Amino acid sequence: MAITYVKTWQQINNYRMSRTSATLNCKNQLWFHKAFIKGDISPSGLTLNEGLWTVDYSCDGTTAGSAGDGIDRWGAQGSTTANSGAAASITTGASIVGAVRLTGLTGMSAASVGNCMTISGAATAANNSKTNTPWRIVAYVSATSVDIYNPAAVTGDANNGSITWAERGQYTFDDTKLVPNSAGSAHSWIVLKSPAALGPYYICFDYTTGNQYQYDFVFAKTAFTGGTTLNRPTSTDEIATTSLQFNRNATKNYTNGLLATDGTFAFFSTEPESGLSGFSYALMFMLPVSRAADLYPIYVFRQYNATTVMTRNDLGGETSTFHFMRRHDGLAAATGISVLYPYNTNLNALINDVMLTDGQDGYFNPLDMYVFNRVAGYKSLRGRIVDFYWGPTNLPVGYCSPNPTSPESVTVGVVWTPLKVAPVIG
Amino acid sequence: MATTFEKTYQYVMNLAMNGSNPGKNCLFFLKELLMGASYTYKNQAQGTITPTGLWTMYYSCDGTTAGTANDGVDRWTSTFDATKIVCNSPGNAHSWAVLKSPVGLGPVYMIIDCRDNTSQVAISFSKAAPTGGSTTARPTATDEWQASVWNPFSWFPGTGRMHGAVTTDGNFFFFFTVTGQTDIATAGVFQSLADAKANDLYPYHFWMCGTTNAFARGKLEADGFAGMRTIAGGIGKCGPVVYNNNDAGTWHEQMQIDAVDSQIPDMPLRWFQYTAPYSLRGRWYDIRWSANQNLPNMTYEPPSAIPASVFTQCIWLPINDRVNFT
Repeated sequence: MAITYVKTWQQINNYRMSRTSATLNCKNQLWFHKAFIKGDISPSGLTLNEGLWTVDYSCDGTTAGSAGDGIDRWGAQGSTTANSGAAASITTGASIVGAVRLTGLTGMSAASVGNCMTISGAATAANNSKTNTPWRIVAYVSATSVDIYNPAAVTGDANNGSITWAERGQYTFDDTKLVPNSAGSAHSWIVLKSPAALGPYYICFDYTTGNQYQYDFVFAKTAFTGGTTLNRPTSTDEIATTSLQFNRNATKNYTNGLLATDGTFAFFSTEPESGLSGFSYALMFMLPVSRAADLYPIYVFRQYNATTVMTRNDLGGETSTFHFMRRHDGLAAATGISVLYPYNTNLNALINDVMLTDGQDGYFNPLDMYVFNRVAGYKSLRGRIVDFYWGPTNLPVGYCSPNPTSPESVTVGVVWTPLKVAPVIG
Repeated sequence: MATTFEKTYQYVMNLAMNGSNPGKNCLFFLKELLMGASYTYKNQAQGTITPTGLWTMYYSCDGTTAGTANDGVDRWTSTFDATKIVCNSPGNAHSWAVLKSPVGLGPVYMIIDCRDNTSQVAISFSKAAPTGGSTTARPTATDEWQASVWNPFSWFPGTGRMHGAVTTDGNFFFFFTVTGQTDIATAGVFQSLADAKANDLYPYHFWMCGTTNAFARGKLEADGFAGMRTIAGGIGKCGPVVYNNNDAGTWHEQMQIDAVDSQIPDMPLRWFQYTAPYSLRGRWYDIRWSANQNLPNMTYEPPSAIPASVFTQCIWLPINDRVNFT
């Protein structure tokens, strides 16, 4: 069947890392994670304007921010364009959640979307952009007006009509801002905050362990606090996925990013030019369709394997080390998490094992992925992962349905994902 | 468990069987539930309604007179008369009835053949209109599939009740209970499946089981209880998709009433064509897998005087009244 997705998935496909060294490649891959969900980069022709995350605070290995300062120390903001002025107003009218409308500008065009906007001189502090952290332009209205993404903005600023503004290009990767090192030694970290409707949730990328191909991914519902150049911030309800690899320490990787307009996201990486024919890294930050009483419905799957990720055992086994979730009472990390897989008793077989694409129409079938917690006392069906489906076991890696030219879905391991472009596979 | 549904159900619940001829009464109930001439139908809130989406009689035989295709005569009549339902083996005079669904459902045809006086009734479906038939042989259709055989006689010792619902587009289910028992004794479900593919020429699924604990998982999975043609109209078999945990088997056996929110987890019940060409054929509307660990059979949701669903064995079934086992 042709699939109709529930969510709108914005994506950057086959993002090619800086490839002059393993160091640059690894750092670029980690930086891409931050930049993608924050909307720092938006290749021409792609739309990546909704469900964006914002910086809560960060550390570049030299300077550690303080909670809520909003400063992105992980990259270089883009250069100024020719467009700037001092007569802007912050108003209502933006249609994207978390955005506000700027009027009183000059020189704006459709090409401004994806660029950024420095704001200063607003009476309300939350309206002013932070150091090295301009607001993202998410919609073009007219030559004199655009919408910018600032969930904390307050419209009707007292200084409307005289606010200073300057358009800037997109962020660029600066490897010197990503310093890997062990906890207790100076290293980089960044805390990002999701769109409010998602929770909000907070995530921390901690470039720790000292290996440039590893980072700790930490997520929480309670805002992070503390943090120095030596140690990452912490949260009272955090779940940490620690010392997990994301790269083979290779020099040539590609990463696919998926960001739904609600802020859930996924990354899938490949390393084709080394002759590796599979996906080597998967990170999924998902909000399953769950019950109202579930206080902590976020499910994270994170796995590195040089040649293949997201096999049935990786996802379907509760002893797998790749599932991360809190209990649904939120009081502790959950154990015994798995993703239920579809089975047919008559065949005594997994449906994924016998059925490639549908025998009749060549499309794939929507075999739901349910997250299940089996631990006594906390047994719970935690929900269904929206728009991701169990796929066939025996298809080639990166199989595109219905065709590679214009896929509706692409397999990563044994999972159909909403990728819309054929992945670069070795 | 959801208490609102995709379909609109029109219920006939807790009808007492005719004590002298309970098996024949069950056959009559199945016919009459779909035709609606003599029963009182209730909606989800137990209000009396005029049913829509009913089936019509295409032609029939009462063991004495066999009709001709599309004569529209209900020779079983709209009032239960055991003499009109003659059960005997093929070659001997016996009753049959061909019912036609609402056009919007296909239409499809259902043949009820009272083909044995001691054990079995055969139920067949087709998209092509059945033809032929005599007092000694049922009609046939070029694309018919025999959905199930059913023994309505031995399970009903004379006291029991009949229950069922037809949706406003002609899907239906029915079940029977025996006085003094505590679970459903026979059940059947016919649906034009949800989520069927556009090129599916036969999205119709019929499942029926004529034993106690009819909705047990093993019976839903059993080879002989589900009837379905393949997407292109060939012969195929269909079974439900269950969900397993790599370390602990089927989720139903593992799942229980949630410890935190006291909710009872449920999941859609999809049907998989497990003979080649393999295909996921679709989903039952409104009937869902249920957790069954520590959940008492015949639990109602909500647990009020007018429930919306009942848990039986491993599924949730739409309902608008508590099942009377007296």
